[in-house]
This record gives sequence, C-alpha cells and structure tokens, in this order.
Amino acid sequence: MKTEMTRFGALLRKEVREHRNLLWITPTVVSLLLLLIFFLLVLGPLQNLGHSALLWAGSLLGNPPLRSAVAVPLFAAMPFAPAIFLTSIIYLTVCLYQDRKDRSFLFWQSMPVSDWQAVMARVVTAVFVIPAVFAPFVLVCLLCPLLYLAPAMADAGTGFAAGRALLLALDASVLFWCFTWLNGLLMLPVIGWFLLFSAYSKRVPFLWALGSIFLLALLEVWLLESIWFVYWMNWTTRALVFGYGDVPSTLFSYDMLVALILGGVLLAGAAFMRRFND
Amino acid sequence: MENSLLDRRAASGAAVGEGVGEGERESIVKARGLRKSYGKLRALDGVELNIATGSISGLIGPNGAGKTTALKALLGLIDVQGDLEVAGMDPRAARHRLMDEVCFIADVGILPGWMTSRQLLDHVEKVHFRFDRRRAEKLLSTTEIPADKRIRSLSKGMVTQLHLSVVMAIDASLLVLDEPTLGLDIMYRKTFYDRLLNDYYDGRRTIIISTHQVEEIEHLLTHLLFIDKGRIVLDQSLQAMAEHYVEVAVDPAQREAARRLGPMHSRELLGQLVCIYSGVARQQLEALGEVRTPAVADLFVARLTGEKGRQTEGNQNEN
Repeated sequence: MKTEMTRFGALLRKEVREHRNLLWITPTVVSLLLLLIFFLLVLGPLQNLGHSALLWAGSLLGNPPLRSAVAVPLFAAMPFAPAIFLTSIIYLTVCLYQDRKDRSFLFWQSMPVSDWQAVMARVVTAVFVIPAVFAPFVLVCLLCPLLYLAPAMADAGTGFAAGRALLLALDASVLFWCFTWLNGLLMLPVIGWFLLFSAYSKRVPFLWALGSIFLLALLEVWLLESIWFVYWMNWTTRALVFGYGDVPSTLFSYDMLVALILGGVLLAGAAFMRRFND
Repeated sequence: MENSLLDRRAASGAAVGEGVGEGERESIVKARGLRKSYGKLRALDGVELNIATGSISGLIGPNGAGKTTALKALLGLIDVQGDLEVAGMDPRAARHRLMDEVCFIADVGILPGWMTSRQLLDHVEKVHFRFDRRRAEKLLSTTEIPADKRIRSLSKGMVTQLHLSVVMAIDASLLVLDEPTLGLDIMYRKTFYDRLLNDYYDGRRTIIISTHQVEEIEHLLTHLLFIDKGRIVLDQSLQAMAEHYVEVAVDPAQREAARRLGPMHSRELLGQLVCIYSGVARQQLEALGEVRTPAVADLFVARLTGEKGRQTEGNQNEN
C-alpha cells in the first residue's frame, strides 16, 4: 500500500543518496579530529594538560546526581554543532541548484511530487536527517572518553563505572539532538533563505545568499539607521552554537513563532522559484 | 505487427479512412489564446490547441518557434496567460496531480547521473503510484543496460532507453516527447520509435512529439501541428492534410500550366519542377505530372515560406 508517507520517505532517501559524500565525510572528519585530540591529551605529548582536564571532568562526573554531569559530554559534543550547521548550509545551497545545473530537475518535475513537497523534503533533511546521520558519530565521540575515564573513576571510589558512562553518553546524545533539532526550527528563516537562493541563482548560490545578507544589513544601517537585522543574525547563530537552554520554553516562545512564520514565507518563495526558474 | 499498429491507430479514430472524426472525439489538450513573453520576445502569441485523445501529434517548427515553451506550458512548468486544460486539469494549478496522468521525456540526458538504474526504479516505484516495476524490469531485460552502473556512465542511447522503459511502465494517458532522440545515432532513434509504437501506443493513449527529425516520425503521426513565431500555423489531421495538399512533379511541357495554377510553393529538384498546391483538386493536377501527397518536411517548408511571403507582401502593401 503506497501512501504520501511512502512518497515522502522516498524523497528523503533520494536526498541522502544524492548527497552521501557531504553527509558522511563531514562527520567522519570531525569525529576523527576529536578522537585524535582526545588521544593526544591522554596519551601523547599533551598528556599533562590532558590529565588535569580529565581530573576536572572526573570530579564533575563523580558528583551525584549523575544528571548534572551530562554537561561534560555535552560540552565535548559542541564541536559537532557548527559542523552540522555548516553541512546543512552547504547542502541547502547546492540541493536545488544542482538539479537545475545537471538538468535532472526536468526529470524530478515529471514525477507527481509538488514543489512544496520537494522543498519540505529538503527542509526535513537539513533539520532532522543530517543531525541523525551525525548521531552515531557523536555517540562514539562521547563514549570513547567516558569509557576511558570509567575505570579510573571507579578506582577513585566515585561509583562511576562503564554502565553509567554508557547511560551518560546516551543521555547527553539525546539532549544534544533535542537542542540541534530545536535550533534547526529556530533557524528556519536561514534555511528558507539558502533554499531560496539555491532555487533562484544562475550560479554561485552560496555567494548570492551570503552577499544578500550583508547587503540587507548594510541597507538597514544606511536607510533605517538601526541594526536589528545584524542583532537577529547574531542571536540566531549564537542560538546554534550555545543554545542549550530550556527545550519547552524555547519551543513555545515568540522567537520560535517569528522563525516559523518568516521561514514559511521564504520556503514558499523557494517552492515558487523551483517551479518557474529553469 | 504493422497491422496491429494500424488497428490501434484506426481504433483511435485517427487513421486514414473511416472512423470517428478528431473534432468529434474528446480532447485531452485544450488551449485558447496561450501567451508567454520573455522580455520583448513573444514565445507564444495566442496559441490555440485541441489535441484529440488517442492521437499521435507532431509539433513541428523551426528553432525558436515556441515548441518547447508550448510543451512546458502544457506540463505546467511555466506560467502562461490564456485558457489551458490538460487531462481535465489546469497544469498551472495542479502540475503534480497532472503528472499522474502525463509523462514526459524532455530530451536525452535529464536522468540524474548519480543514480544507478536500480535506484531509479526504486525511487519511481515509491513516488509514482501508477508505475509498474515488473513491466519496467521486463522492458529493461531486453536491453543491455546494467542495473548497478551509474547513469552518468551509460551511453546517450542507453540513457534514452532507460528513460523510455521507465515512462512506458507508467500507466499515463498522455506522453509528451520534446526532441527525445536528439544526439542519438540512427539505430537508437529507430529502436526508440519502434518500441514506442509497438510496446506503448494502444490507441487509447495520446502522444505529442516535438522534433526536428520530421522524416523519422511522419509515418507515426495522425495529426500535424506547425508552429512558427509562437503561433500555430497549421493544425490538421494527416488524413485532412493528404486531401488538402498535393505535390506534383511537373512534366517539362506543363511548367507554365503548373505555375498558372498558383502553387503555394515550388522548387527545382534534379532539373524537374516540383510544386505543392493547397486546395486544388487532384484530378485537375494529374494532367500536370506525377501527383503525390507531400512529405511533412516539404509541406512544412512550403507553409513557412508561404507565410513569410505573405507577410512580406503585406508589409510592402502597407508601405
């Protein structure tokens, strides 16, 4: 039995297949770098510095309740947030543009898929699928240091063992994904903006999208003598990297409402451009 | 094989001879006053179309005449002014729903190169609910297309075969082909049209073909549409065309008589005068030489040069 969900699932699978290099190479590189830094800290020439850092982390991990200790692995997972952001932005910039460049968009247009569905498949890929692809990499990068720490912490009588390390890593991973997806929704205007230029630009969509942001900021300063746009962009990117706040209050905030409305308008523009711009 | 094809064309009511007239049959495409401009260029200038269900129509025109724009309008890929209905829907409002009923092959090489043919079938199977995967696999089994090779590594001919196999496995009522065999060698071109007729066309489906290689498709067509400068300059069934236009290879002794009858177009061919007449009785022309139905390409040249001649005359009179 084929349903609209089957169709949408096929669209998501197509996105993952088409951009497999981008989606797999970035998390692999970031994970390898993080693990390399970790092993340099505990085994290599920086082990003195690493030893101090581990002792500090261990003292936090050993403190009951364990739930508060989740901040340590969350902090360790932070380099993944800008990596996910960068991967998503590159993906959003090329996804619609590439279809026009290789003329395959005529084939995609010959399928009974609406422009809105096609654009939403890209949004879901950027907000949910890309972070999900990163998930196992983040878990491994959290688990390795925690498992390494566990015996030493157990010997020190903190009660922190391998089983608790696994729980802690999973807990931190889940929280990390909640924040990442939440930030993805908050960044819907940015997603819509890059998709709009991906659907519209004849060439170099990334430069067009970025250049227009600078132009808008300059125009606001020049014409309105205000810096609201710059402030908003700054707030959005800060939310991405450091936005580990309270999930429910962020989800039902005015900021989220504004993001969803503005993002919706820009996404409608991207769907319109996809249809009529070849 | 040829007989069964004729039966199917006759069943469609579009074959030469008796049958339901095209005007009486239901139209799958109805267009009134289609207009589209790109800046100062008028790509479509009041196009009127009425394409009957079950016909095989050839949309023929010179470069820049508006063929692709017209087809894109029918498929809902561009916005146009005017009234338009395809398979009972307005393509501008419901392109994706229309694609349940309509298939198109834009030209060779639009399949995504990063996919393998197996992945392509997987995708279309889940996205297009009227796609019959078993039929596609059966059609592909008669070709040499490997299932797990990326499309970008296949030859142009293979890509076209793959695309045609996918399209033929979709139960659609209208197939639109825009220069489908562009850049293919003669073997692939012939195979393409043979498969289209033998394995796809059943007298119930409608096919619209736009191509420059008129000679290769004229034997398939049941209907002709000539387009020039965004206007339809000829819209006729092949049956009506055969009755209305006559070509005469004029005997040397009859050259003056032939000219006096006012041919719409004349040319010298190996020292012999060849004239095309419009609306002149065959019996009257038989006295001038060998009488035959003009080839579509010759009629196309005759109509277009005739149009230009009339326009030049008109401009001179205005001045």
